[in-house]
Amino acid sequence: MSAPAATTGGAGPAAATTQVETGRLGRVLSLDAARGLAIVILLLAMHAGPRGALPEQLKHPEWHGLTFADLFFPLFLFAVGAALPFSHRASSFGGVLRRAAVLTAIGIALVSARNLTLVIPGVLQHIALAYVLAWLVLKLPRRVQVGLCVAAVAGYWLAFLAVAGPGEDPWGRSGTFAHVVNTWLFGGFRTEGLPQTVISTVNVLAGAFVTQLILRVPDRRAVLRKVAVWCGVLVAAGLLMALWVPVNKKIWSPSYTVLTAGTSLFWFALAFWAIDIKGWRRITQPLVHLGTNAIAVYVLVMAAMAAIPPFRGPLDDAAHAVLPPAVVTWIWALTWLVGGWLLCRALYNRRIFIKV
Amino acid sequence: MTGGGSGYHGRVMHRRRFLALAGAAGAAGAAGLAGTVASRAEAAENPTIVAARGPGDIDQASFPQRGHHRVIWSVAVTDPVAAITFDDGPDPAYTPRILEALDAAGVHATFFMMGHCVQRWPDLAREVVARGHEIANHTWTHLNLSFESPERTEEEMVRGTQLIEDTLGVRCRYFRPPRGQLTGSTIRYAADLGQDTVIWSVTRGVHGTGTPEAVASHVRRFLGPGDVLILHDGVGRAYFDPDAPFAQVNRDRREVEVRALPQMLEEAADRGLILGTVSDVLAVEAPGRPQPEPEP
Ligand SMILES: [Zn+2]
Repeated sequence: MSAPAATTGGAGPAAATTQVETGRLGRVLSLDAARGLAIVILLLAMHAGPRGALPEQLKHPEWHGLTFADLFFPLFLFAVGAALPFSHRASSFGGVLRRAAVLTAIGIALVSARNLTLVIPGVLQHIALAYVLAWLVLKLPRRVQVGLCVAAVAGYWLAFLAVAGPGEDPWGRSGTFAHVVNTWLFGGFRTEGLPQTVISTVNVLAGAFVTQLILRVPDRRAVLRKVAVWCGVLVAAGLLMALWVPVNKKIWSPSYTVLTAGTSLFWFALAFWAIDIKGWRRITQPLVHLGTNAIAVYVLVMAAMAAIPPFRGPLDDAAHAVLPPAVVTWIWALTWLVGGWLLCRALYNRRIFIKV
Repeated sequence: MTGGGSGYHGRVMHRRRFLALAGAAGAAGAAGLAGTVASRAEAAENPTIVAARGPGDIDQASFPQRGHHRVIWSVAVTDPVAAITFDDGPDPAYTPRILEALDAAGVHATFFMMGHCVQRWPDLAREVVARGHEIANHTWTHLNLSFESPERTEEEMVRGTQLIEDTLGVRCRYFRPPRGQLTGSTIRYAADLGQDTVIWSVTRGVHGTGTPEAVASHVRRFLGPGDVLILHDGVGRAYFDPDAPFAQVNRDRREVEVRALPQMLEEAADRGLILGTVSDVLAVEAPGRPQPEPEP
């Protein structure tokens, strides 16, 4: 497993915005905060599993449906996209490919170590591929970029309809487009599979479009108004699509894609309003800390959690002997979260941004 | 003497041979084959059934994310270990004698206790813990959960767990539904409680009351590495209807099992079969499908 290189003043996908002056606006801290918010929920939701006594809204639905937890991986992808137009390293395709390759290698190592066998798809792999695809799309003329997003969502929708036989559910638990492709590639359905990754590029691009908007429009309030309008349009479109296409994170259904592009805009708008317009920096600072080293803290927590099971049983037993299960779960989840934050804060204060 | 007397030799071969013998005995019409054992014996005799149970097109990722909580009938093992389990207790009429027999053989077992009995005989339940046995959840009052609502099922399972855990200060890692009646609700709530659902692969085998010799003989023939043996140290619903005819039947059957126990333990040891708790067996589980990544 290749170790992430620690550098000062780096501008990886996790750090770009703190390092790059946009010129007109100064740092867009709100992007870091939005990414930090995504990481907070991702880290919490990782503990909502079997023993978890966390609220249902921090768990993913079993198949169709939308919970609070579903909104934040798209937000993370959105933040990856938002950093793209700022990133120096994203200026060459070689740099992009190298970064994606390192991220993919770490991801494959992590998920393979967990499974004691080579596993290709995974969360970091998903991020890496969507990042490369988004970079490629951003090289096209702007009109084509948006058109391509619309076409991708429509094409994805049609692919599901085309694969379903007569009378079959195109969005069911088996036999869908996502099942067929993933089974062909990986021998079975995968939540971080190839079709889902490809369509989630739309979420990455949504972030990039917002950054382009910030770079183009000098007035922050005008930016906020435009973002709010697009948020409304996308959420409404996603809900409308949900009349025909179930909202489903595991197959990254077209309605989920559009809806979460909209909700990501909402979280960004909230952060933008609070930080870049209202100037509430102190209270949002922990999110900025987490957001600037987001990938690093995610990888570290994933690796540590994969290594911890042998010790977890006795710890759990000791804790359960004196505390109710819900309390134990929250302590466990918050320990990881606060630990991750303290680490990120220490890195941030030393201006260390771990890039991959 | 079918299946008895031999030590534990080749891991896979021995198990196959053992199951084949079990199947042959079953085909010969030996009395009282438990359905699960019969079907496993068939599987051993008919390789196409085994082949058909290889990895299929099951789409694992679309199932709920409940970690590795699962339903266990028996375990693929790397060592000659089988689980010995007792349901429905504790009960002063049976548990103390069972504890003596287990102590004498140096065996630890898993006791699937009823919350009701733990509440009624807390000191006896503590004695089971003190002797190093594993405690698991067998609901509060042993209702047949096939006929109960999800809400009632949850109450039975949660209350049983609470009574055990609060009284004994141990954590229940396993759940067994009364009568082995698996329902959707029991599986779901067991996972929510962080408990693996443990059924069984070998029973006392003998219908009616039987004799200690017949029960011990059945167990000797059918119990092999990775099996989960179910016995009883309580009477289940009979606590709430002690004068019913089935209550007397239950008591007679339990008495036979208790008397058969020393012989069973001795014969297992002679064969080189190590008896232990459910956790002991899972500790030597052969590598299976590992955990997926948490979904972001
Ligand atoms: Zn029972």
